[in-house]
Amino acid sequence: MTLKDARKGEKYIIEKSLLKQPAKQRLEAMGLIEGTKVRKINQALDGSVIFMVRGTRLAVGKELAEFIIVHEDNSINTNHSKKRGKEDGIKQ
Amino acid sequence: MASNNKNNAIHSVMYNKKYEAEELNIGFVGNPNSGKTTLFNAYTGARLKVANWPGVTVEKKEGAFKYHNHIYKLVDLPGIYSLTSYSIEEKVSRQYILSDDVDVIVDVADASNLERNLYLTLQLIEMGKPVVLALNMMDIVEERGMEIDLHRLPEMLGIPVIPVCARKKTGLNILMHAVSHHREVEPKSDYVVVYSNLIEDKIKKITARLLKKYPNLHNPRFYAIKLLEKDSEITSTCTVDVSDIVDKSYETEIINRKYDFIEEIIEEVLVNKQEKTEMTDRVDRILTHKILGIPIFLGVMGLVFFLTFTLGDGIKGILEGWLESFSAWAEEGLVAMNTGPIIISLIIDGIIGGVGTILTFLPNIAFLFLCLAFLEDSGYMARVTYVMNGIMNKIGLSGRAFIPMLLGFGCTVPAIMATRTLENDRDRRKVILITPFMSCSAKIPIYVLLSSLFFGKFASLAALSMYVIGMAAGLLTAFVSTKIENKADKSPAVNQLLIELPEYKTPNAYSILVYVWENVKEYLSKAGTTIFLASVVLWFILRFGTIGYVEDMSLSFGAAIGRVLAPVLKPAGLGFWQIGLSLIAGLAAKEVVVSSMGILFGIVNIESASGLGAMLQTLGNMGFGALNAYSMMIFVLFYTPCVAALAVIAKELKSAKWTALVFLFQLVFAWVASVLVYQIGGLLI
Repeated sequence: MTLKDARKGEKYIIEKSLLKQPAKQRLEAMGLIEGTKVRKINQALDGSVIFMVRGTRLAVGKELAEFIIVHEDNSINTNHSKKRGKEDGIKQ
Repeated sequence: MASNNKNNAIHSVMYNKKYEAEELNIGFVGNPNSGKTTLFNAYTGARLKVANWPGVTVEKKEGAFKYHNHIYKLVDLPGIYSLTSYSIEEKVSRQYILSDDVDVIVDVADASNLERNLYLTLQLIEMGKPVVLALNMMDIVEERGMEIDLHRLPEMLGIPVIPVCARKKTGLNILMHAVSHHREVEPKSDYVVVYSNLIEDKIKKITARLLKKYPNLHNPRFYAIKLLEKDSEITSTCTVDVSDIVDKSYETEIINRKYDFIEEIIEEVLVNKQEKTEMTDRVDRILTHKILGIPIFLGVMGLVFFLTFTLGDGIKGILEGWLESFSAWAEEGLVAMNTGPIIISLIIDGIIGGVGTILTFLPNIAFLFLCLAFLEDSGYMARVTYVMNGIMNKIGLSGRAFIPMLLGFGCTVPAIMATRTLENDRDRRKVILITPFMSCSAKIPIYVLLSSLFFGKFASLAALSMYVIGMAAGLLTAFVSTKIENKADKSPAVNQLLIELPEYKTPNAYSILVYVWENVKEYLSKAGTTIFLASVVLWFILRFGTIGYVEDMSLSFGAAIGRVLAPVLKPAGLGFWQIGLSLIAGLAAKEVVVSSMGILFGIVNIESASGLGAMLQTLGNMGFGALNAYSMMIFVLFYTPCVAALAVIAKELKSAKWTALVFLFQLVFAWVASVLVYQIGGLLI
């Protein structure tokens, strides 16, 4: 699913980004890369999303949220000692 | 070799040159919201603006101080997240860091948000200059019960790490001590971030090739990495062909590796990590609510302006009393000194009347800036971009464009400069065009004067309506220009919102006071310079005519100038030479419209009860009523901003054609709008 369709208040792991440059690079530089944990906080009527990533709250427009593919984070352990998604066998 | 390749982006960084006079150039770099500007202010005492949203430090700010026998020259760089070449700020920062102008980099990081801040740190270290990490906001770290291993962190990063607290001014001396020592430290041979074998192999090959061409290159590894990332700026300026090694962009791999390393660091140095964000989440549930968000924002702004007009007025009454007694005292004194009547008129009518009137509006202006500072410092302003994003998208802009517009309520000059945070030129042009429609604080005296003269108990409402109309007209203008653009261009640019929302915090009293004082000082110095000068010039052209000194101002040069404009303004109900002249004078600074009316109507303090009555009578005799007043407010709202704002617009647009277009557009818009108000209003009344 996309970050736009994700549920409010839930935790997710970024699977991949379908964004084009330079938006893709911009988000990567902010640490939104494959396997990064995110927590969706809020969604506006126009589809903009607020989410938590690496201890920072980011607000992104619909055009970005629609192209960030995520899947649910099923780990119970919420701290960062858990390794990134790659170890869970998630690959594109 | 550097001198042979002056135009080349690749130049050597020879930081271990001999230092004369113990002068140290220090660049302050850091993420937005890391408290970088607060730390900078703590050293230099240069009271710079402290803001709370990304990208506010759009100008290079400098300051210097002496400590022991060193002269420390500090440069405050824009707040950035990375050192790529996407935005103006990142490019400016990177070029500055690579230049010989800087000896040591102080990387200011928010210790309570280390994970985000370390990415920039790793990039800075890679650039090969001496870096000292200043861990700011250590008090918040403690407050949250977190701990940072201050022994392990410098070990892992290979640079000195100094805990500081800019707000409480602790750790400042130790930081500068570390800076003065660290500049002599030779870079270590091993690298902080080691990439995969494939990438390291490519870095080695590129480095060798670069060194062959530029044997003195200090930081070939940085350039090699940038070439592997296919960084547009470095790639286009590099004269060494590496296309056989760089078969594709390795940027994603390089970013991933850095974040992997950051996770390793966080795991080792951060104890008791927790997301202490419940408060912010709770507040955000209301303030960024999908339905309530916009009404709340409008309510907040309505309250700000309502309070500006009502609360400010109370204190203004006291100042008016002072001004009146001062003016009477000055006149008595001048008469006692046998001063000629012309000089008395210049001082009492021209200077005290012109400048004094403006000073009585200080409480309104101070209060407005207090509110703006409060909104910024609490963290609410960044939320406005999210709340307004939907509406802004409909008119072809990103929610981010709303920040310059909000700043425009204070002063157009910094608002125009804040458009630099917008990514594409088309958006910037659009925002620059509409920002002057957001009524700046200098227009407050005009609204207050006219509406209290003509609208009685509805005065605040009439003044408030200027903000609503201005904002609506701004949004409409952006909407229409987007439609025109899209017709010309089949692939309109998509405006994507991307902004960090800082955690809510209790605004810092010191930061707010500094911000308000900065703006009040600006207002006072404007009263002492531009408005003073304009008042003297106005007095002169109103008191002298072809026959010399005139008692009757309608025979003056000023009246002649005003009469040229009067016929043009007639359809707007403003066809009086006095009004025409004061509007022209208003181009120097908007407050001058009011001071010129003070001189014109020969009233020292037009805001006092007797002054108001006298002016109302004079205006009434001229046939200038409530509708004319409202039309004039509309004209002032829209017409060309002051020269200071125009200069910034010209500088930012970098085009005489566009600047002239903006100038004309606003003038024509003001005329059409006020004509519509006057003509339609005339039919209704």
